[in-house]
Amino acid sequence: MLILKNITKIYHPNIIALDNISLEIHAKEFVFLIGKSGAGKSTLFKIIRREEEPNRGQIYFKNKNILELNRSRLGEIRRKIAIIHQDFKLLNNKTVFENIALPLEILGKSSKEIKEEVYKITEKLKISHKLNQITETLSGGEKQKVCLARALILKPEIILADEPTGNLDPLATYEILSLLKEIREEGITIIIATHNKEVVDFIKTRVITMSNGKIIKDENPGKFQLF
Amino acid sequence: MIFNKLKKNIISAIVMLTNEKIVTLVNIISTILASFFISFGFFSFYFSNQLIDFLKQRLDFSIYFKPSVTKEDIIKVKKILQEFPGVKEIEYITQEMAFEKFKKETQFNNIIVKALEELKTNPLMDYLIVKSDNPEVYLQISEYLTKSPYKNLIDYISYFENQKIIKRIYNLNLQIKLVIIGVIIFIIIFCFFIIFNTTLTTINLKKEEIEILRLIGAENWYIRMTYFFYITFYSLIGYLIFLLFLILFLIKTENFWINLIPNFNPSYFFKENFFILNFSFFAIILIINYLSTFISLEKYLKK
Repeated sequence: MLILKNITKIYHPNIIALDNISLEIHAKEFVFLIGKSGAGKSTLFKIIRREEEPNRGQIYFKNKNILELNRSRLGEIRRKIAIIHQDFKLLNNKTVFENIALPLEILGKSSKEIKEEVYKITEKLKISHKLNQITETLSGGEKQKVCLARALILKPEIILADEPTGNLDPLATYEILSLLKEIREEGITIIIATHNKEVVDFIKTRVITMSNGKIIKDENPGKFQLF
Repeated sequence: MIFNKLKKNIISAIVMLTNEKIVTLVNIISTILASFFISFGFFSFYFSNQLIDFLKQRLDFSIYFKPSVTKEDIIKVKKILQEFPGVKEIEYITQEMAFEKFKKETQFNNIIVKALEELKTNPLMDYLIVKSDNPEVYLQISEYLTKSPYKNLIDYISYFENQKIIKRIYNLNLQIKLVIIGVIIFIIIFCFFIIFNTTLTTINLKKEEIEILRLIGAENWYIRMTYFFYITFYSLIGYLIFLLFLILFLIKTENFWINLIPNFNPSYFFKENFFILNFSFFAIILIINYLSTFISLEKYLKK
């Protein structure tokens, strides 16, 4: 589903963020991307969504080289490869409903459709009772659920989660990881970047280890399992 | 779908207009200033052109005939003068034509209009207007006529004794026009940078929102559209405020301009060309505002 070939990213003046990265992610896979801060995990995510351009290499998403895509089609790719962040990136002065509805508004959906979709997704994530609440007043776990809802509402094929539990307590961390596992069971590929070993220990799945912009280990226990 | 996107962007633009009050106010003031200088430039050109026309009329070499002179005699003089080298055109203005022309020229001067109504007779006389590109020709004709057998037919010759002064005014007018162009360009650039910087501030405040919109897959044109409506709205508000002031100014100063230069009536000119003038002024304002905003916005839409 997602193939990265020889991806290299060098920042000015000569900082090698990614060094000849090659990897393949299959559909419905649940992958942990681990490594210390500065290992290149976030840069890799940015490059997959073309928020950054690599200096070398190719990225194939469903057999299409996304680096060759016209800039006008980037929105389409970013909707198919959604992302959630540690710092949530929500509009804090808006309500939960407004935040989750935003991607559908961009697509030009009608108010009726938006209401239905938002209600459906928030029911699933058990935050429908928070719809009219201002996002700023939510807890970390709830904010991350809103992010997840905002990502899921577009029915993406891949979700990139950049340190999604970085700001969460253990209970909320477990809740978010369980949700991500459920989402994966619905057919969405999940890639989680984290530097937290405890998070990785929650789920027995493929783990890619990065260090200094390189993949140093790619382990796959073969059997996906939530501990 | 497109209708929903438009609706969403219009709403976002209105929200931005009301939420970012100070930035919107600065943008509106900049729009008013830019509108003022653009229209000032335009009316200055109109004024200087009218002034030149007014002076040109006085530059014309006119030969006025005594009331007793017959049309045949005037035509005879006209034919002789046409043979002068350098004469471009000679126009014969009859007493009636002169009266009509005078009435038209003074239509905005209520005092003269009333005086003409009360007079009931035509006080003007037949005359010839000689036109030449070379003012020296006027001097030769003037000398010829004062010595020729036709000198008794002539009442007076409006030879421009003030030729040098008028020439100087003409040159000064050109220089003033250049200065006006320079000042307008400077002011437009100045307004451009004010709007550019205020927009940069607005966008900086909205940086996070733009980042989130891009994060969830909004295309650049979608983000630009909100700003497009925002610019259109504040430009419209700014221009309407300016227009109100301009109309009041033109009404209040109508008599002043007519007394300054006959036939110069910016108020009448503005009324006659209301749509084309306002369309042009507003289009220039929009171009300045769109350009400055989109250039500052581009920085955030590159990725």
